[in-house]
Amino acid sequence: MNPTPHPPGEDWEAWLDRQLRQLPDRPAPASLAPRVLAAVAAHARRPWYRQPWFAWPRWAQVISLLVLSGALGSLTYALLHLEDLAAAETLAAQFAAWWAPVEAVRAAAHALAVTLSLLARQVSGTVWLALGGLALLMYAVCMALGTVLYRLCCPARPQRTLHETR
Amino acid sequence: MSDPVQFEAFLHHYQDLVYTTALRLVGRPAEAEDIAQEVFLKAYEHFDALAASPTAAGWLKTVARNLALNHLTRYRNRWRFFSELESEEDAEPGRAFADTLAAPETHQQTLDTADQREILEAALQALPAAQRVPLVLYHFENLSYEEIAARLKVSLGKVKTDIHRGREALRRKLQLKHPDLQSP
Repeated sequence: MNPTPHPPGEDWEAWLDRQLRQLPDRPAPASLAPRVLAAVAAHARRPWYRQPWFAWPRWAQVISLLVLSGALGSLTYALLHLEDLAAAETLAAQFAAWWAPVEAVRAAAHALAVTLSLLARQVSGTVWLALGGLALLMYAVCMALGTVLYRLCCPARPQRTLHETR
Repeated sequence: MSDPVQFEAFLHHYQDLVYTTALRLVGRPAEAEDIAQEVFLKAYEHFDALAASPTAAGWLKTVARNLALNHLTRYRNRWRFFSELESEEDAEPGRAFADTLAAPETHQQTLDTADQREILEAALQALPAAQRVPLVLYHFENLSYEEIAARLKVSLGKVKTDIHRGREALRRKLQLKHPDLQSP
């Protein structure tokens, strides 16, 4: 347990390694725990907006995501359609230019909904089950491939021995 | 949110482990305490997952080690830490260190066990950072030479040299305390 003189015949490095590993932990200073608890208390008292985003209340996370998405979307939209808006002469023309992409999205969503409802009516439940099974199978194959790739790329480290790198 | 009472028990249970890990790497108690505080603040943020985890000790040790190494790297210029420019014939740093720690002549040769631990721990702490850190990473943190070289961003040869010098310095110090210690 304790450092003792190096016994004759024993490898010095192995002996030292054993002695070092057997050294007990040093006692932490008495001031550490109160310091940590005070810091934790101060940390917990911080308003939510000064904490990491992941610690924000759910409603604040949702609102911040919506605001951020809206801002980014508006910026992208404005950059893409700035010329159209500038070219339109009347207010009605400006509105039409502004509304055109929204109308296109609405039309696409409508077409998709009609297609899906037609499919739901025409295709039997067996086919839907088969499609679901196929999706599950593809998912399982992806998981298996991912696992194999992970094992190949990140093999588990062998246990180090004292002399392995010498 | 985390239960404060449970966290306090957690803190008391692991504080020696975290403090020791940091102290052996940075070598200065005040800085080790700062690092330990930072580790426990991080632990508090993840306490819901850590509280009942059987790997909490390993997590704490890893975080303490990384923070200590980051701390050392941050101040490496100030301390000339791990300088590859340091010449190989830097006048036997281990010998100088052993000489400075030589026991008073009046000290009894046969020491009790607590003293023996203290000698080894003090000898380790007295090593220059360039020798102590790789030695600690190797013997206490179970890293291989290659991992130490990668983590410290120094050459493999330098890691081996520094660890060898550190061991020799420890041997000299222990031989001063125990003259019957075998010579190489």
